Amino acid sequence: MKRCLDENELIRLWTAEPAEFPDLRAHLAQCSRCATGYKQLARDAGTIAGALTVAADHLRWRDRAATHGAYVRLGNRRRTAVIFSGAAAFGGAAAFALMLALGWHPERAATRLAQASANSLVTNGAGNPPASAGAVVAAESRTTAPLNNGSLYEVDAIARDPLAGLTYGAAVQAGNSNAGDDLLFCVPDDDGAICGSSAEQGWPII
Amino acid sequence: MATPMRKPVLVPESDFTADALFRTHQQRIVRLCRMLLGNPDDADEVSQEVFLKMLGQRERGPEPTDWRAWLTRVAINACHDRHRSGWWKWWKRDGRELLDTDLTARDTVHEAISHEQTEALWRSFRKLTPRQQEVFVLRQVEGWSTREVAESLSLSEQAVKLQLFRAMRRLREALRSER
Repeated sequence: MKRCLDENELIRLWTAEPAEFPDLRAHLAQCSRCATGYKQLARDAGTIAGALTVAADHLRWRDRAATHGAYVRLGNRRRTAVIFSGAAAFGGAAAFALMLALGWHPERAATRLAQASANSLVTNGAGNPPASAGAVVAAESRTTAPLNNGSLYEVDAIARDPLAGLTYGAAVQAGNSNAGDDLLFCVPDDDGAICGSSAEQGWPII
Repeated sequence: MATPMRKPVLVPESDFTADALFRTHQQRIVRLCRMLLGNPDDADEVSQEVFLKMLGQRERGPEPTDWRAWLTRVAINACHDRHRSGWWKWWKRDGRELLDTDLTARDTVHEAISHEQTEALWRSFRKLTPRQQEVFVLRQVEGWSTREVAESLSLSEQAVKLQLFRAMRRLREALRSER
């Protein structure tokens, strides 16, 4: 064998039993360069073993290790918090998506109220629109949009004056054109409004 | 090939008292555990477990013919168990670095290599697989033969050589990187 040994071959030779790789050993006996490399390898092995032994004898926590460890633990906690928050957010989003897929759609109570009351008429016991309610509508009409059919002005009126408690829609201005309908009676509440039909309130339907 | 450094035993160790056995092997076992665990606290605990097992073995009998090999084998297994049982503790400690670089002891090794080399070697050794560490320690530090290491670790001799080859290549790279 004429080619010189590379480092891997030298290490393989070093880990082997004396009887192994006779051709490599024969080359080693003839080549001074490879022999030098092999001796250096053996020296390195002794140096490494000695250095590791002494290092192990002097092993102890560094002062700064405690601080660094605290950072790591803090990092771990933060990581855990982020993971749980992410999981919760994902779960919530998934649940919302599922609800949407099942046909539910978000609808504000106020919108529901306005739509329900758009064609309703509230009357008093004698069957005439209460004057005070008309005043509320007039007052609200100053600050809100024009009274288009389906607008939300009456919801604002309810929210600002619970006593008003009665909603009006375009039907009010239209001159009780929907007289005879089962009317909606609403009272503002924390959740927006509580509504019930006039029949439930015991009021006569015109 | 590096010459194994084995401590000559003049008196049969079976004649030793438990105290004498402890004094003879304690430092070596602690060092072995430190090398395999990389953690002085765990190494102290594990070495105490090893000597408790030694006491139990002396009471139960039969006493091993070679206490040195027996203690080494028990220490290796105990370190192995510690690796397995405390995996999550290890994960939590991953940021804590271990080596105190204030190596004031003066010996031939320290005169031969620099402080940075020692540290680089230690870090490189910690990155070896547990099996590579065990093989390197038993073969190079404890001076066991390939066959003894293979029997102790339940490996083939070829596997021991392969692990030693890989360990040596990486450690030598670390040694050279700081030269």
